[in-house]
Amino acid sequence: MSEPAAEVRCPLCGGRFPGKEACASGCPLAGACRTLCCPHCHYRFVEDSLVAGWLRRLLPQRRA
Amino acid sequence: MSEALDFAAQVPSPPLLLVGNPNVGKSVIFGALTKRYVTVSNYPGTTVEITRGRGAALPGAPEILDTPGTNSLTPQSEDEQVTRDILLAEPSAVVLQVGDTKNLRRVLYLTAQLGELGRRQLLILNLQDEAQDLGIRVESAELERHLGVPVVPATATRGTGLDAIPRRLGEARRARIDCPYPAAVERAALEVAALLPPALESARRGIALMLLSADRSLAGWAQVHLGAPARRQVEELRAELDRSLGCSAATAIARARHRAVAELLRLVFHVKRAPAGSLRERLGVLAMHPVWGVPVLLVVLGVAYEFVGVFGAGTLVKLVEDGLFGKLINPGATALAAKLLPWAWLRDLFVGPYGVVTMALTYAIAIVLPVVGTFFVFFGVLEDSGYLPRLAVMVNRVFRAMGLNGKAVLPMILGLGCDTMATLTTRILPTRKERALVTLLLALGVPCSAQLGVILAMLGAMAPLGTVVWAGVVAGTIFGVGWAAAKLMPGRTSDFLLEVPPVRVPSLVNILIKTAARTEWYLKEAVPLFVLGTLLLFVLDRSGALPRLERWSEPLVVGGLGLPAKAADSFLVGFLRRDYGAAGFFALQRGGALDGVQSLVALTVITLFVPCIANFFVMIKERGWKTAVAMVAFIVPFAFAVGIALNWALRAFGAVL
Repeated sequence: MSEPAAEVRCPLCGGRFPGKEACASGCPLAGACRTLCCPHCHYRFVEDSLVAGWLRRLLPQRRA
Repeated sequence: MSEALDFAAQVPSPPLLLVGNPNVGKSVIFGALTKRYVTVSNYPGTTVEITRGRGAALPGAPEILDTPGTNSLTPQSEDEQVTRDILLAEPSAVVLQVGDTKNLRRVLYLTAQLGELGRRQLLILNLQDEAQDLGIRVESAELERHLGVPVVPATATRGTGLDAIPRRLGEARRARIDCPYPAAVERAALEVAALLPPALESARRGIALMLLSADRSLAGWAQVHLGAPARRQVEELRAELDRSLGCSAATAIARARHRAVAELLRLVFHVKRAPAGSLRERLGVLAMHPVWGVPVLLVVLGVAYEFVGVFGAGTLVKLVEDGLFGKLINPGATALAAKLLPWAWLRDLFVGPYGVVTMALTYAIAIVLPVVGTFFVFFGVLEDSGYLPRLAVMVNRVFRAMGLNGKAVLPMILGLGCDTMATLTTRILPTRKERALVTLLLALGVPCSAQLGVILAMLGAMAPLGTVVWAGVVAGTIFGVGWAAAKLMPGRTSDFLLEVPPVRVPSLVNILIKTAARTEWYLKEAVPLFVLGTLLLFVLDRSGALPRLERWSEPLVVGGLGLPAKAADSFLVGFLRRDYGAAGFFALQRGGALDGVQSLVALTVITLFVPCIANFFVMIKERGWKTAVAMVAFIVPFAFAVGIALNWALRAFGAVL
């Protein structure tokens, strides 16, 4: 079997899904608008950014 | 339907169909079975994407189709219809049904329908780890014995259990769940099945039940497979059945399936309950309650008011605006401009009244950022605590009262984060009318996170009555326009299914990371528009057009709304972003140029504006330019009309805010 995909937890419904499942489209004015879209409840949210990525590496996280 | 058959013809027989409820891990299993050889294409005649791949990990490497998530084969949305159509178009396919072990009831409802459709299947019970965390135990062997199909427990994200799929695929069979349908339904189903083409073989019973359930989405299929007399006969049988049952056949059929599933669950599904009555559990229940949910919401809003409106907009803005910008950045930039820039107009471009530094950056970073930053912290807490889905459940009842589809609540809640994203999410609504209606309500009255932050900041400086009036006018407008529009544009309603997670204590680290991500996103998206708006004002001011515009708009801004003529500038940039316009009013309020009544009127009008230029573009993209322009042509005059009425009413009652 292939590598399992990295997963994220939807902040609205709590469902988990592969983090690569980004929305097909986003804000037309922000090319860097990297939102994720929960396949269950369709909630869209900002998952990552330069600063967030840096903080994520720096701070210890508990499993959501 | 013929297009669907063409689509099926492209797939070598017999393919495997991954079918299951939404969010049960189908895509992860698809990835594990197909490795990386996949193609994505729209299902014919729809915008629904279908992923296909070769099952490299399976004997004979069959073609695999990953179908959209569905809760029932009686579709409520375009996605669900596509899955049902694929199942009908692929009679020889073997179904890999993927289910969430925690929600076995939903899984087995679909299994019952797949069985009635005569499909050979294997059931993968995924998310075993989450089920174990919740104390859920499913007796897989017992379930397998009852259903007569292989049941494979798995946790796809960890890759466990999936090895059994290739081994057990050959044992795929038709699932048996005996649903206790009323005798009249059984008789009618037999008669309808007899009218169907014999080539459909074992699918006839399932299709007969679909036709008796008055599934309108099957009309195209019926046109292709049934002659006109047979279609008339089906209609007559259904009408007769509805009369004899005293309720719709669809309801009777669904009830019988639910009863059969409940009976099976009693035998195989066991939950070790967490200690009941904990404070968190009780709070979670209260937050969803139609009556007690209201005080919970008021407490949440009160905390937001104190944290964002008082702490963020008061303490933090004072620190950043008066301290950092007032004493360091703006004087420094002014001195630097005086030294480096020889032309007055160029100096003004950066540090004048409409300067990029003194206006755009001061508004974006000194005024809006502290407010929005505190709002993002607050919103992150709401998300992580599990309050938002509970709010969605509570608001759903209000939406039902408005006559709107329950699903409409999701884009509206999302709109509190970003209206542009929420407008894109209206795609989940089943009818065009509902999508248009929710797009209108989003643009009209749901403030996005940035604007809500500034609104709370301005409300924080007013008497509490101001908050009550603002909330009343905005909620009343949404409800009134929504109700009226729903009456004008009736659409069918559908069930609202949302998995409500447990109430959790938010993690500080998670909140910090989310706030950082959102703040960076806000700065990237908002600052360029703040600069653009300032440049627009600068050009208008230098060309002498701005004073003329202010004079022309005086009858409306000064006469109608009772605001100072300068407020026209904020309305002008409000067309680019509502929060920029709101920030302008906030600056006027802090400078003492607006009293309480004026602040409330300005705030109400800007709340009812179109959110931002990006939202307008998305409205055009999603609804077409005619609808988008019509909506804006309604929203802008409507917002001003509400403002004029509010100004008149507040003055007439002598309100002091």
